[in-house]
Order: sequence, then C-alpha cells, then structure tokens
Amino acid sequence: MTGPMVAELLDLPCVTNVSKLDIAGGKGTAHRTLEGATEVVEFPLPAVLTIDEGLNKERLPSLKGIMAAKKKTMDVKPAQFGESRVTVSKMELPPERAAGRILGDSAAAVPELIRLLQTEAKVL
Amino acid sequence: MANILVFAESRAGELRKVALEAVTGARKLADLSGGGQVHAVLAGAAGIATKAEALAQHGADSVLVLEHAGFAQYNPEALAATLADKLKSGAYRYAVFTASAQGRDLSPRIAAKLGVGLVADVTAFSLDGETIVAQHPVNTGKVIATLALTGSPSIVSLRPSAYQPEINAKPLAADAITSSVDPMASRVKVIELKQGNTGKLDLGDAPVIIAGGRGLKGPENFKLVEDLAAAFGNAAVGATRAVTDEGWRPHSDQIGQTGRNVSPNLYIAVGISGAIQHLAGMRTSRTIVAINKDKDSPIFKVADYGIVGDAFEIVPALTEAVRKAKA
Repeated sequence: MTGPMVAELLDLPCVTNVSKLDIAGGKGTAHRTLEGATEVVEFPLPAVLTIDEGLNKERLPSLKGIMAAKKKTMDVKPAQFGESRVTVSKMELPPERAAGRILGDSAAAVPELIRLLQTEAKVL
Repeated sequence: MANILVFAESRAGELRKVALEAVTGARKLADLSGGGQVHAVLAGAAGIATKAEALAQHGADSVLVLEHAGFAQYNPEALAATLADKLKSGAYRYAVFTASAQGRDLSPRIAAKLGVGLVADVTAFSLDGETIVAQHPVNTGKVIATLALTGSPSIVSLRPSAYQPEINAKPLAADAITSSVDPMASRVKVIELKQGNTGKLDLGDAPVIIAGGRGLKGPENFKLVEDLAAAFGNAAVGATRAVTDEGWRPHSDQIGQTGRNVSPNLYIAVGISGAIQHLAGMRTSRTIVAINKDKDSPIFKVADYGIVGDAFEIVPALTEAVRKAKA
C-alpha cells in the first residue's frame, strides 16, 4: 500500500502488482496481476509502479561494482514520523490447529477418509 | 451508530464474491456500532445497476451506483476521487474495502487523499468505543497483530474469505451517483482484461480446492489433481509456489503468501510438504486433507486427516471413491 500512497501524495499515475512491463515512447504498458485474470494497463511517465515477484531477475554485481559501492557515501537522515493513526496493541501467535489424524499409508485408507469427510467433517 | 461506506468490487460487469464479503463485513461493523447505515458503492458500465439487488440482500441499506462507460474497466483514479469525496462529506465513520488486487490498490489512494489511517488485510475486527480493533496477520501469518485504528473516517480492507457472505436482506434502495472527475480522463487506463481460468471456478469462490505440489514430479501429473477436482464437481485446482515457479501451472494458481489466500470448506493437499509460505495461504480452510510421502512434513501439522503414502496410488483411488460418493 506504500506505492499507491506515495503516488497519491506526489500526484503521479500508479500501477500496482506489475508482472510485465514495457516502456516505449514516454509511455508505459504493464500487465497487472489480478485474482485469476490479468489487466493490461497503459500509463504516462513518470509513474509509480509496484511490482509482483518474478518481474525481473536480479543482476549479479561485478567485482568492480562491489568495490565501487564500498566508496559510495551514505546520506543518513533521521526518520520523520507524522501523527500515527494506527497503534499496535498486541502481537500474538495464531491459534494452533488441533493435530490431525493419520489414517493410513496407502490407498487402503481412502474408504475411511471418505467416511470421515461425510460423517465428521460433513464436506462431501 | 455509525454509517459505513463499502466498496463493492466488480469485474467485467459481474460482482465478485469479495463484494458480498465486504458488504457482509460492513453490515457486521454497522451492527457492532449500534446500527448504522451501510452504503455500498457499485461502479461499472451501463447495466451494472442490476447487480445492486445482491448487495441489498447482503445488508446494504443503500447502493450508490456509479454507471459510466469509463468504469467498464477498473478505473482507480476516478474511483479514488469519487470515494474520497463521499468520505470527505463526513457522513461516514468507517470505510470498508477488500484486500484484493483492486482494494489493495484503491484503499491506500483514498487514505492518502484524506490523510487518514488504514489497516489492510484484516482477518477479524471489533469495536472499542468508536475505535476499530483489527487483527492483521504479519510475517506470513506466523504472528497476528492486533491494531487500533483511530481517526475518522477509519479505513479497513478485509482479507478475502475472512468474512463469508451472509444474507441479511434490506429493501433495495439504489441511487445513481456521478464521478467526481471525468472518468474518461484518467491517466492510468486499463486497455484489456485477460480472463484466466475461463469456465473454471476461481480459487476464491470454490468450496473445494485440490492443490498440487512438487511431489507430483511434473506438469503432466496434474491430471491426477484435475481428475479429483472433476470428481467433486465444485472444486478448483491450486498449486504451490515451487510448482508455479517451475512453470508447471500458471502463476494465477499459486496459493500462499505471495499468491492467493484461500479458505474453502475442503482443502486437499497432494504432494505438498507445507512450507510456512504455503500454509499462510490456506491454513484457515475449514477441513484440510494431506496426502504426502514424508510423514514428517509440516502439512500434517495443519491437516485434519492425513494419508502418508504415494500420491500416484492414493489420488486415483480417492477420485474413484469421490465419484461413487457423488453418484
């Protein structure tokens, strides 16, 4: 949710969940992953994009690059917090699921599974 | 008593199940607050108004219909502007979205426009006075954070399947509204919608899910899983990240932390060891069955019923037995 918020504050176009990206002629075309579908989206530049995993393969840095990176200076600034509207009141472990039953080690266990799904879990 | 604005998500002119979940959640929140009004926003091309009835059935006191050719596809900029204006009026204490691809995109835009707080991916909520106290899984569901959300309006997005649709019929009251900005002038434009899994049940809607993992050894063996799904008749097929990364199944079939979160009545895991990232996406399923070779694999810790053995032998037998049971 950081991407769309940043885009809104900068008043820039924003596309989230990008799984494929083409940029040509000052214009971008992106595939946006939905639940069981994909949207093809066009947008002008500059824009804020948030990417889906697997869009790019990471590039391995060269030895020269690693050495050069060591010489870069870092500009460290204190974080500026605004007024917080969300406070964490508790962090806890999720309830454990009760341990299940192992019904067998072969297809011979199938009739018992069917019986339990019908009578106990009532899902069949 | 607090009024609530809820966004009812649609795609290609059809309501999505998460729209009914969001309205159900909003109704519960209104009732918790001592009985406020639930107003649902429904956007689409001409004809979308016919979908308002389903929202009233699930507890919307009023449906605000945004009908325009510019909303034929998801139009985040015009929707964010219109919804933010509605919320700015001060008529609503809370806004409810779904943490779906649309809701995750839309709700933060509105929170930023209004400068108000947002809790995403909520699995359960209650009210402490007027403050929403929401549960929100972090670290792939290993920890549940409880968050208090102050300020007005407070915005939440509900995790898909966290609140199942419930009938709570209200008389249909639909009102046409207009977009705050020209919906044809948005900078970001959806030019095409490619529907996946055509004709198949979506993972989010299917009451039964059969999921396959690396234990199936190859894409051709997903036929076993598909046959079992066909025997149920109301099942969708899912997969683990290992499988979609290998390209055996499309990425859209992936269940888990970086894929879909599902909560079907019955989840059958075939050849899945149960990595924590996978469990994060399915552990809330009502009944879990695991079929896997390795008796020590973590999937058996969340499964209600397990068979430790060869999926290639067990699954065809199970398919046959389900066929008989359904006959």
